[in-house]
Amino acid sequence: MNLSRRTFLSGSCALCSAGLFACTPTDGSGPVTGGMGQASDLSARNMPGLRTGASAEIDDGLRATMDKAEARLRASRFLVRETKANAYVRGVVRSLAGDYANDIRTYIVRAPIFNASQAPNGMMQVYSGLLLRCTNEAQMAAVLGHELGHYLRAHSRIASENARQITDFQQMLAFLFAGLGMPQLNQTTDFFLVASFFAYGRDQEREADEIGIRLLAEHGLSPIEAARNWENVIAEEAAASVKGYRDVLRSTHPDQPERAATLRRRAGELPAGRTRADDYREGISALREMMFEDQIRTGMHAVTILIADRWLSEDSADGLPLYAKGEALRLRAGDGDDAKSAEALAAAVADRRAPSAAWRSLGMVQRKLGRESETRESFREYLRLTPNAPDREFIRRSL
Amino acid sequence: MVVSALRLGFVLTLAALLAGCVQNHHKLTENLARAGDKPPAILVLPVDTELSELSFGGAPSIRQDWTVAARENMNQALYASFAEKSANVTFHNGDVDDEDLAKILRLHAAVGRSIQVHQYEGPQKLPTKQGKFEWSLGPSISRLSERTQADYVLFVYVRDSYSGPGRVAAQFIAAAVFGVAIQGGVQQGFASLVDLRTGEFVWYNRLLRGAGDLRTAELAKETIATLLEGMPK
Repeated sequence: MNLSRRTFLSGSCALCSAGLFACTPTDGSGPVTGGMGQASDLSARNMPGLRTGASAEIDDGLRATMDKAEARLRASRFLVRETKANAYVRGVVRSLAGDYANDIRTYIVRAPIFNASQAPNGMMQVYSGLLLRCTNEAQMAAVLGHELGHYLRAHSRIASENARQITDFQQMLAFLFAGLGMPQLNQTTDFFLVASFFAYGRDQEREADEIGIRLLAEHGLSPIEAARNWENVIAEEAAASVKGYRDVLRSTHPDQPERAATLRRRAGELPAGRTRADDYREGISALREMMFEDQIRTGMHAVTILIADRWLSEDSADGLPLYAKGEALRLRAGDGDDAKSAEALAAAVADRRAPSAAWRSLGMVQRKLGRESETRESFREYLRLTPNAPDREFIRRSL
Repeated sequence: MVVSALRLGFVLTLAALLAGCVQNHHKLTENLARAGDKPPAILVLPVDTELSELSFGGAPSIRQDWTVAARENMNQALYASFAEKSANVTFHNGDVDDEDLAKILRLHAAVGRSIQVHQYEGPQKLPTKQGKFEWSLGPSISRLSERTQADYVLFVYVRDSYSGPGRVAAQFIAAAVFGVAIQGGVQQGFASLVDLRTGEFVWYNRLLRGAGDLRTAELAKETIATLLEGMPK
């Protein structure tokens, strides 16, 4: 048994730095849920105990560390620089942040996972995988509002102070138990101290979820979309047949069913709002193709199909999710997938939003199905649309 | 159990410090001279450093004021040290916000930490190296020589920590009451000389000890002198 102070220390420090990037949204049953008696209670600013000027409170060392990380992000090839989507996402953040708009610098990061993060110096990162999974502005704003909640409440700084206090307390107990001649007691208290650190972090997530959903309501956006995010995540995990291993002691976030249920309940208490699906679609339009391509390359085909279906439920003729779905089915190649893939890809190429690669995929699956004349037609169309395609010689040979 | 953990920490620290006395530097050559008698031109980069303060329980937090002072002190010490040697040395004038410089410093830090872990005697020494000193930053580093015409580049990387008042108290209690030493601040880092034509490390010197104080100009000078010990001419 080596649950020594050192082990804890390194664990907690890894955690402190993880805590510097407080991640992804939670639900509302946290310590700050207020009554809904007055209209002013809706405002995230009127929540009890809200700190102001959160950013100004961090110390120079933490700020320098985060500024370094931000400079690195600005030079990163994973930073999405496309102007229209950046202007749109930043606009939503500014509007949600209100008085703190000038504190927050928002970056879109190319990473095909559902996440966002907020650093205490004001750097917010929004992952492209999050933008792909949301289908309207309210869903995205629920996450952005959650991240802003971490900032407004200075969660990162408080978490690192908390970690320091816990290690100090551990050291004191270590002396005390050693003095009493019962050093073995240390292991028991370490266990509870580690647990308390993580439990505290989960409470911060709950608080951030509550702030997020209040900000939605405050801005006339639909609060129920905050719950939908988590219902979507649950559906995704079920589709991927990932059996979520959950460490009840060291989880950084409350579990998803809890978050979904609490947000759903809170949404019922708040006024309904708009989803702004059209604004969202237009705002991120330039990134969709890249995001679907990245998602296809994760190889999580069931998840890709689920996400594509989500977009198709909004617009069943949308060629891009049709392509993603057809391509994922083709790559998965399970029982009956080829026929379904051909169907989706045929529908995709009928829509101008599909990439020309949809013709190539269609040709490949048609060849597999033995439809040779259609195969040639599809490949020719691919070459006609992309005469400089890097694989043009390969496709030409196969004609 | 606690006492034995503390003792183990003490023994490990001591072992690390003793190991520091055995062999600290690796080099490929004693002589940096290029063709002809021209003395080699060396480009010196700003020091890459961070200083932190330990709390009662030993948790570190970065102190920006100390870091800024230490960077200044070590840069001055480097300058003085080469002025004395009247070597053919240029100092990089980029500031810490220069992202291209930051990238190069990060690359050096990453490779340098690998050398620290895998080149020296210990459980993580790489058997595939067969004792050879063979590390590189890659040829892209040659872009540093374009503006400066330098043959080599010198890097200095230091991470230093100091016991805050709480930690000092903890160390005192451990020593006075239990008769054991618990870890205080540690000064660790390395200096390396890299060939700008190939990116190869030609010399590397590590530092690992519980002494020194970079917050003062005088002791920073001593740290730099220790780091530059054995650098080929």
